[in-house]
Amino acid sequence: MKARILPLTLLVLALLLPWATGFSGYILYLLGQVGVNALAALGLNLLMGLAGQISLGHAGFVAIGAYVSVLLEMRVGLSFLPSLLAALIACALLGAVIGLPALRLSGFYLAVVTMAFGLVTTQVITNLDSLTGGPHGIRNIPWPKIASLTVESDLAMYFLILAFLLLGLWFYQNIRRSRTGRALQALRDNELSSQAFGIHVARYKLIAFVCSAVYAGLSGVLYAHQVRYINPNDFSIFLSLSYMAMIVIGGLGFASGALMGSLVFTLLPYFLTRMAWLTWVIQGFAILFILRLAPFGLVGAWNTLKLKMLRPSSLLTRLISKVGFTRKS
Amino acid sequence: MLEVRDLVVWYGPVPALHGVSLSVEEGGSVALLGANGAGKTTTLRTISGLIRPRSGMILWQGKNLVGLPPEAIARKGIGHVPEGRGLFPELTVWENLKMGAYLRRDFRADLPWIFEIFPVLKERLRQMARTLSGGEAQMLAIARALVGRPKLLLLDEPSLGLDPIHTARVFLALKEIKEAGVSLLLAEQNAYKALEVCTHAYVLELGFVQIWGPTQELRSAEAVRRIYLGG
Amino acid sequence: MLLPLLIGGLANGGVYGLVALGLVWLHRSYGVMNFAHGEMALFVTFLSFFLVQLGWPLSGAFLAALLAAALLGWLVERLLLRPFAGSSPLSLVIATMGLLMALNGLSSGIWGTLPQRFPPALAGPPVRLASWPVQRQDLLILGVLVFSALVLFGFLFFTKFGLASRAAVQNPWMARLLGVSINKVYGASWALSAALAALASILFAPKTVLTTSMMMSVLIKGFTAGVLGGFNSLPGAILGGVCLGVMENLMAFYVSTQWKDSLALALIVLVLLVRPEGLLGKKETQRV
Repeated sequence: MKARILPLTLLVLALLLPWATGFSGYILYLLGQVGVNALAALGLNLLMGLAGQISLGHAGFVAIGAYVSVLLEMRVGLSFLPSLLAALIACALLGAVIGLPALRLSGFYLAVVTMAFGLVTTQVITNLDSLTGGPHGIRNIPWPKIASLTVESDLAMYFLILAFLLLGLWFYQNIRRSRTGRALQALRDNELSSQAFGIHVARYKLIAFVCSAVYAGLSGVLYAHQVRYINPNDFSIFLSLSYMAMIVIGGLGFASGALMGSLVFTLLPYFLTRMAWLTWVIQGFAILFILRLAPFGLVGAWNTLKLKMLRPSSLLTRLISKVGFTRKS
Repeated sequence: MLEVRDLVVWYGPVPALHGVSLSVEEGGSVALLGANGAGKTTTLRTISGLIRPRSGMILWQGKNLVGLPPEAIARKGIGHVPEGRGLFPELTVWENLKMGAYLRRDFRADLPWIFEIFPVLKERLRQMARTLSGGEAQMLAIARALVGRPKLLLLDEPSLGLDPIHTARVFLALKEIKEAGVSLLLAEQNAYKALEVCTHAYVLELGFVQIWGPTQELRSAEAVRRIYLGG
Repeated sequence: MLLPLLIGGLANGGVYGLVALGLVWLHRSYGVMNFAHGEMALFVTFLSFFLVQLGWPLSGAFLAALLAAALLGWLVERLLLRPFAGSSPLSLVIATMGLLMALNGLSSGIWGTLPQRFPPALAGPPVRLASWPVQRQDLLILGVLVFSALVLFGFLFFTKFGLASRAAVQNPWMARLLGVSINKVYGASWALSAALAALASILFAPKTVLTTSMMMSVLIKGFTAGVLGGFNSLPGAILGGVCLGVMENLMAFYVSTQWKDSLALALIVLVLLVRPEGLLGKKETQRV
């Protein structure tokens, strides 16, 4: 029961937030962006935090989700939900395709291959300019229409993103606690030993890639419909690096880590308005700090701190040692 | 010259040495005997700086070596031929020897003597170290350590995996090295051969020094015979 | 048309090869895949551009950049990576990515994001080679490539420190037992790697536009070149680079220019799946 209080509180807060901010469109827009990034970060966390596979091509899947759904809506005439579904399927398939070389590759090489994938995706989108609008991108993306409702305000968008985010969180926690999640973590910790224990390495690696690609695709679709303008430069390798920074600093493997990382690094540029470069410097150095001092990220460090503070035995020990009760023989 | 006092070494949560003490005099030759896992290798690796002890002192000519990195200890004149020989597989025999003389300027003057003790190396100078047979590799490892003109040479199981002929050759070489004035600390399972070369010995068992003393006494000691069953 | 294509391809390949050389050397001697390789080079390239703007002669700025790169590499090893000495390779790789971000941000912050024109080292009209025009900068790149390869080879095989570096790759603990100061070797490896990257970057900059994203695709091509040649082979790095450069140019001419980077991706995947040890590398086994 205790474990449920915090998430429930946050949920209630999230639902009440628009009213608390006076329905400020600007703030709701920002929070929407946080949610969009959090979805992508969750996906990457599944891949990197749980399954231990490095990917620098995450932004590529975000791009594919965005472009597939937008093109289907604007060129083919599909409505929001079907094109969303199609985008997710496309990402799932491509995730499997990228997952295939991953089956045979270890850390470094996987990072390189995924990095190349990310770069190539952007290039392909730019090159197919008759279809995608090339480097100019696509403007005036229509508001999402679900059944008879049109999501056309910042408030409505906020709730749409929130809904998907909750879905994503629920799914993430489920996976993490399931057999699949345990298999993924075993995989992360020692691949050869996992194999020796009968865990079907290939299947789980593929699952991880497909799921993370779907999360990224969903994020891309929502991004496209919130900002309503996309171009290939939005999805560069720097975005992939950003996601990685978010989960490393937030906490690899923790859902709350993805949330926290996304919150901090989506909002940070808005505080450093004319110094966008400083965001990068901070992210970079934060990664170095966290890796060295708090390898489990901010969330991990917080968990450790909580344990240390709440354990009565350790409190007693510290008191005793302060009083000088133990003598050196 | 070398004095080890109450060395305590743990591998993480596992204790390996429980207070080992030994000493090697200048020009002396000391054997470190014991079965597998007794702590011989651990002792040598701690002396040469590869492992940090939990407590204890390693005094070399009066100065404590504990805490110094391996490079610094090598500079003080202690050479180590580790278990497994530690050859550089993709370097030639000649290059391996050159590495042995890393801390010196010119080692060519020593070569005639080295080739006298280990004639087989002369023929294999241009070969890659990984192509050498077990016996030849052992020769190279010892020669490489010698080229650095150490004052004390630590050897970890030089006869391991060698047939009797090569074993005999190695120990013959060790005798000649001893005669040249190099002090030896020899860890060996082959007690018989080790006691032929060394004047003193320490017997380790489960991280403790069980017996020690001059070779003569040990040869006849009941305990040694018990541990080695005539081996 | 073939000769200029080839020379151009070789020159680009020379750039990729130099980048790959630095990457492969660092991987062999230090054990990490340095994702910040490109950004380190970018940083000092901007620095050298800045010096030229201040009025320095190009050769002086060039040299200053190389020295700055070596210093940067040495500092990175000393201050940022040595604290990570015991960490897993994954952590190290992520650390280099963090470094990538920080350096990229610093470059933007100090020198701005506007694209710049970097003056070529050898300005002037193209040279005539067998009645085909060849860019002078390309010839310079080829010359530098050959020279660097020779210098590196000489260093590794004919100097004491070079021998120690090679020995440290094969058995670092044994090298230490023989008196090699391993920290000096690592520092030197990083300095060397960074200098090679800087060399590539400064030679490449005049051929394109100097911006903060210039080195990203060059980095990936450097990785491709290294993979192609075999990531544990130094001559392989150069060979891989040159092959990639030529293939790219041929493809750009006979197929289309737009898909050059995709070629790199396809190559990486192909090589890693079919022949992971590359052209000149050796097979590696994995231990549990």
